[in-house]
Amino acid sequence: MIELINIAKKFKNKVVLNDISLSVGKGEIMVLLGASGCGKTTQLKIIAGLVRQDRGDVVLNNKVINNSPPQERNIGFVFQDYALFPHKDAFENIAFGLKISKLPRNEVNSRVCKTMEMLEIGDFRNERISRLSGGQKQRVALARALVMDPDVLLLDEPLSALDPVLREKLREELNAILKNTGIAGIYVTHDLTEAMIVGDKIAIMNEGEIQQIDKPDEVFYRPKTEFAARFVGARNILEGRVVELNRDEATIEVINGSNPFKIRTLKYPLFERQKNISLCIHPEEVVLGLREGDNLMRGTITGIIPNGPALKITVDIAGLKLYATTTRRLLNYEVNDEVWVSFSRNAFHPLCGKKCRSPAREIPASCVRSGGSKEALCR
Amino acid sequence: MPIRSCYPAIGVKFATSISLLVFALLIIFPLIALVFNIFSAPVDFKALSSRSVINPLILSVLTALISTAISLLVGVPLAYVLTYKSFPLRDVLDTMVNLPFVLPPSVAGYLLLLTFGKYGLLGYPLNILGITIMFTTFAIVIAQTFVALPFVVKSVRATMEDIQPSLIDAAKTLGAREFEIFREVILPLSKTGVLSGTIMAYARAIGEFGATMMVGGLLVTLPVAIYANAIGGDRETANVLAVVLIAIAFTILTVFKRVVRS
Repeated sequence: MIELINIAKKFKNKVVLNDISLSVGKGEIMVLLGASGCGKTTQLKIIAGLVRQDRGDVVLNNKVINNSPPQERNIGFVFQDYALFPHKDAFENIAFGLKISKLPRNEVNSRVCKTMEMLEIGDFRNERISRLSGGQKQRVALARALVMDPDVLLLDEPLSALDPVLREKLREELNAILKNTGIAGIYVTHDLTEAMIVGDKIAIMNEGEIQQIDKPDEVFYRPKTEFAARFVGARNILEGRVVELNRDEATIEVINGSNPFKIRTLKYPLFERQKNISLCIHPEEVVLGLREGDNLMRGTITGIIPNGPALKITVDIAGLKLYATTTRRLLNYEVNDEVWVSFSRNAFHPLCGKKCRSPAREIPASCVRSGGSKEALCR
Repeated sequence: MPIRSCYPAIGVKFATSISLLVFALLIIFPLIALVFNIFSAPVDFKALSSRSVINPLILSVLTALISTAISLLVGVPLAYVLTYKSFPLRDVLDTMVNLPFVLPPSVAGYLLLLTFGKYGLLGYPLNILGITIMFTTFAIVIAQTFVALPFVVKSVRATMEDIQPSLIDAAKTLGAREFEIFREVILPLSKTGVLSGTIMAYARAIGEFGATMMVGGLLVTLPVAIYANAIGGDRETANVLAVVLIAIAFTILTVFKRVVRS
């Protein structure tokens, strides 16, 4: 099990990571999801020991490993650019770590061959790296990390260099491989779909902070912060005030448009009368052209953008811009047309706004630090 | 439009012609002059085996080999340190390594005299121990190493700087320590730089004149021998020595090209 406790890091004066805490258990895959430059890769490098944190602890299997060099951590790393040694062939790349640890040749051979078979790259044994395709390189990089039998596997955007078709195929395979190996994995990506498929948990990151850690469905349907909501595609954020509370229903006055209007939603525990709240709703929950539903109002279509088989539509309701998604077949409107807009009362989700900044846990008192020296062992 | 567009073409042709003319004046004509000179003062090829040719040739080839080897042994680790380590005065060290590139060889020779001369900084204590360096083969090797070393450092450093940092990070996560990373990753990937640095260093060492003349004493290397024979009026020997040195230079450049291409 790997844990980060209150990790902070600055490069020069720029805060790259601020109070990061998370834990990943054996057989679990945590996805770090966020835009480029939000500190995801730095976090992986801190775990691997390639970058030293300014504050906080990295704990591996109940042992603080802050002062252990990367060579002693037994943490596998699959780099974004694969970082395969160009002067060695596929076999030599995979065998690199085992040879460095001076294992007998027979054992090196059998372990490398077993891993190559598992990843179906046995045919490329003696192929030079420059002659491998992107997908094959990715597997060799994965094999090189897995063959060391690491306690934790770190994957830094492992599919980002591949074309979309191959990426789709490989992310499912990768998911199966990671599940089979049963090791703790931390997977960095900026692709929501990839995160939803691969991750057992997703940590949404923004500007060096974790905004939310939850299961994929929770993150997707119940984002906690505005950033998380926008990142998972719940782009419609409604600012409002609770004006009425019933047993299981609330009436909210939406005030971030030019003309306030009221909507009905489910009642959430955090709702209090007259309290200001933010609600989010996914574009696919915004229904166009049906004159029925819990909340029904007139809007004007202001934009239609094709997005593959779907259409992204912007619609203006009382001066508030909302996004809707539908298919070409279902849309009979054009820009500037008036349209009925409706949403179900359970389509809204309140953003509590609390980021995951509280520490995951303090280092237990039983975790004795050996006088500022190399490591502390948890007893 | 057509008139405008033909101006640059004329400009390019003009510039090319000028540069070809300058090239001819500086490189081709001197070679033709050498050929004419050889025919006007026929080369006695027996001279090739005379001591006045063989001795400088052997001395130059051997001392250049030794100084290139020393340059490699010192230059590769120096390039590594300058590329991968940060320490105080690193920039100063970097400048000092490159100093021989811009320093006149006579200054280099003078500095070596000050250091290794009979009453020099190191020469004096060594002299007390009965070790003489100045005006020996060893002094020539030191002078050649002084000018050849920066070629190794510069060339090796250029290839080391091209190595992706993620390769070194990957090696670390796979358990490799600093020396193993150097041996298994950095050195093999700097092969081209090491080879081209070696070739350039050898070329520079075998051609060294100014410093060698000041510290070599009675020992005569090929370039010094050419100077001595040309000034002394022995054109036949000077011709033979020049041909030998040009042949060596051509060979070195051909090998260098092959290495760069591979």
